[in-house]
Amino acid sequence: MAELLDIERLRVRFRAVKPLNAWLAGIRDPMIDAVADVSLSISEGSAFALVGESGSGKTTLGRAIMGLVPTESGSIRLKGEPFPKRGGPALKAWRRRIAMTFQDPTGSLSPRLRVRALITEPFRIHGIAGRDLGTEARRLITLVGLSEDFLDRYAHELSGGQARRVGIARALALEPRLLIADEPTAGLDVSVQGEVLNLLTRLRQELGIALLLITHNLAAVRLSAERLGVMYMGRLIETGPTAVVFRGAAHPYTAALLAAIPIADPMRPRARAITGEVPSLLSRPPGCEFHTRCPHAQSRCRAEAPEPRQVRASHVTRCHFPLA
Amino acid sequence: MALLEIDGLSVDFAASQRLIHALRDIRFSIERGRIVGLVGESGSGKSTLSLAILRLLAPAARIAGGTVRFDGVDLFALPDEGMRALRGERIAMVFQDPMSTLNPVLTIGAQMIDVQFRHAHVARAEKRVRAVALLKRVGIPDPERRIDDYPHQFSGGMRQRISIAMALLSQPDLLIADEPTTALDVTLEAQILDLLRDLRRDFAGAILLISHHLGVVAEICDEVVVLYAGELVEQAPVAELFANPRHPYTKALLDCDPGRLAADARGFPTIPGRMPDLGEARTRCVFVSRCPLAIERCRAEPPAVTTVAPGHRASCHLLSG
Repeated sequence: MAELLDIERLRVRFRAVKPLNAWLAGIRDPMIDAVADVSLSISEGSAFALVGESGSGKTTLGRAIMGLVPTESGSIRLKGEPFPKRGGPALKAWRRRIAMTFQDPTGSLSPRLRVRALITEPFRIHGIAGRDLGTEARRLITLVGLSEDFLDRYAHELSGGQARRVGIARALALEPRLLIADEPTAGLDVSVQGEVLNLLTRLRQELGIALLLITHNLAAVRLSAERLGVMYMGRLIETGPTAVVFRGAAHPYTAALLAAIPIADPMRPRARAITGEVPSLLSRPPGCEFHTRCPHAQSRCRAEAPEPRQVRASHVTRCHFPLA
Repeated sequence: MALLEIDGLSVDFAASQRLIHALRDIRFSIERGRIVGLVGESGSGKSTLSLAILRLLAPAARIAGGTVRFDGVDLFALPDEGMRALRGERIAMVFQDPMSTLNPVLTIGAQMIDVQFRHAHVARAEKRVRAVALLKRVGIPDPERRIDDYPHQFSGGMRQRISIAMALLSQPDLLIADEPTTALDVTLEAQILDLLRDLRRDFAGAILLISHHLGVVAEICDEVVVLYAGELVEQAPVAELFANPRHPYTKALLDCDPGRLAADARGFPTIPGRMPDLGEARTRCVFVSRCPLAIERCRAEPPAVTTVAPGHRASCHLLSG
């Protein structure tokens, strides 16, 4: 049976340096792979969390799935159906089945429209007639746990958490099968973060939709997604069931990320942070790209790029010497 | 005598037609050599408090009462000139976004020499040597060469190290760090926390660390002050606060931390309800509308801050018996 979403060896390239500047600086390849050779699948109704630091390619991958950035190679399939080759009606139909909420909750809502218009805009854009928009607006706003009073507000009259809810209501308007939530907790207070994550879980259960949760908030992932993928420099370096990865990460980078989460327990002994920073995507290190920061790197890691390998059932990592 | 003594500080903002009470009767002090964490959600008054200490409040704000004493000097009674002499020299600040503190069109060397302007008798070359030494101290590799680079040539984590180095140049007695790691990724955040932890060993002053992240506070602070809706609801040594929180708000906030969730938890705990209107008069407990333990008295009168254990204070009727 085909998965809901199937991504195979996906590559997204960006031009990072203008041609003349690249020539002047002696850069041979002015292109960067923002997403490099990523394969993953999400089954109907499940949640997959994509974690990694800024610039690791999480958001670009999400945008590629929506068709908001062109892909270089590889494939994206929705229930076995390939991503439409041309724009127009086929792409529009694709975007009815996959919806996205964006990072900046207030910035992604038009300041000129009331919430009522914002959340029913998808019906207008997709030319869906025969529905009473007033009823739909009330249904959607209730679905995300806000009262009907909010329908008459403008974006600037909403708090960060309320704006998130409106963004989610808008994404759910056309009853998609997959919701891509890009950093839904960024900039929110800790108690409000929990509210938004609980809402996403409830919506999955009630509507049976699948969720791709893009976040750098590792602590948020544990209860919100069954599966987890970790990205580093555009590559998926570890995927597995969330609980398994939290218990024993296979890739040293995942282990470092998990160890770096500040824990609200002053008595806990602390691990030192991993040193160094993410190398430039313009000059990827040879071999394993994490070897410049890896505390376990050996000579093989500096020479040979690791291929994905299975460490246990449905737990895959790109590491020559997996920890678990 | 404590380095910083805040006594009964209240700050109001003039909004259309009415006053917003951003801070009410805040009282706590910071001893030399300590790192004090100031936690609270958006709108709790954390940033207003740090700006009040520096006397950098917006024109719409008014000190409605109280004093701030720094090394025995009443800051609110100081002439503007005297305050300017303290700012950046004895009280320094590190902001959330390092790009907003660094000038993009000057090299970091030029900026780090400029901020030593008070030392007219020191030669430029010597100031440069001091700047290089501090860059080295905060972990900038190859500082002799990199000091001539511009801010955009550094990564976000490196820029935050540079702004910390700049704040430390004058060897301040008090460093106020306002969400210094919020803009950083988790591995860089851990590196900055390591740096702050190392710095406190040879830095004789005190640090006031403002954060909404309890994990960050637990990692490096000695003491914690919890603000809610402009009021101090609890203060305790860090180990005591995390092991034995006494105010229902502190308990709720700790429960919300996803890092503390049990492995088999079904959902994230939240704090239902919203922060009260800051324009209201102080007739009841600020947390009453969200408190699961509220009793009749909580609605009738505001609680006072009481000492519940040595160094541990909280404002809750349930504690005063």
